Amino acid sequence: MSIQENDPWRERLGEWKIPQTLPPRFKEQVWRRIEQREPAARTGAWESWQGWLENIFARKAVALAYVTVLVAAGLTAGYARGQTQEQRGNAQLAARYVQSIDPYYGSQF
Amino acid sequence: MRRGLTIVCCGLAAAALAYGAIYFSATAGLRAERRADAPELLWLKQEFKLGDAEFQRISELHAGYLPKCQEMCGRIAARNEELRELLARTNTVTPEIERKLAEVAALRAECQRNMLEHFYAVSRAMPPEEGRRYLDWIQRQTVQGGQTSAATDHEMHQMQ
Repeated sequence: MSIQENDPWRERLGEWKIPQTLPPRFKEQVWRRIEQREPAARTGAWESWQGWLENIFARKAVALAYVTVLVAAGLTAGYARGQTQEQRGNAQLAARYVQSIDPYYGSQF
Repeated sequence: MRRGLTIVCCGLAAAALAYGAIYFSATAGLRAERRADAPELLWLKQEFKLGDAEFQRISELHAGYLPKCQEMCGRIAARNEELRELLARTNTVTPEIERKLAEVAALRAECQRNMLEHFYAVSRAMPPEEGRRYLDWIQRQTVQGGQTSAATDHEMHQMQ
């Protein structure tokens, strides 16, 4: 669509003046407004996560199950790690015993 | 509003507490052994289920054997050094090397005989079944060729 010679829009557009200079500290104000909005967005996510948690743990059974599962996982991991450590330590002590009574322990000849 | 977060934190804290409690409980024996003067003997006591009197007797046997073992270590080190020097001087098997090899072999045989005597004495001081288990294990570790610590660990668990 082209603007005809006698189109009223042409006249209006001709009157439209764009200010040559931006308002003082325009850029700074733009960045400030962006920064002001960002924490608001973050707070929104945090609050919605908290809201989600509230919904999940609204039922006591779910909260209890959650804590039970974590405690069971802690016990299992602690026991497994303890057993591994105990076995490794016992193997070192066994090797130390053999070393204390065998002059050829680790010898080339 | 903070109830959910509190439950999350409580769950994590309870898991950490459970982990720490069971870990320290499972490794308590090992820590006690390591604090002892001769942790390897304390390990022997626990591994072969020795009573206090048996442990006392075995500790005495061990203490009596150690000076002989150290003396033997010194002789072995000296013979090995002599053999190394001879081997470094030539690229053929000289009569001197043959003699030294025979000496080294004789020393090894003597050392193994001493070790076996000690092992038998220790096994006799143990309850019969544990004594047999000890002999089987220690002979495989020493006179029958020796093992790596990983293999030692593996074997001890198979034996239990």
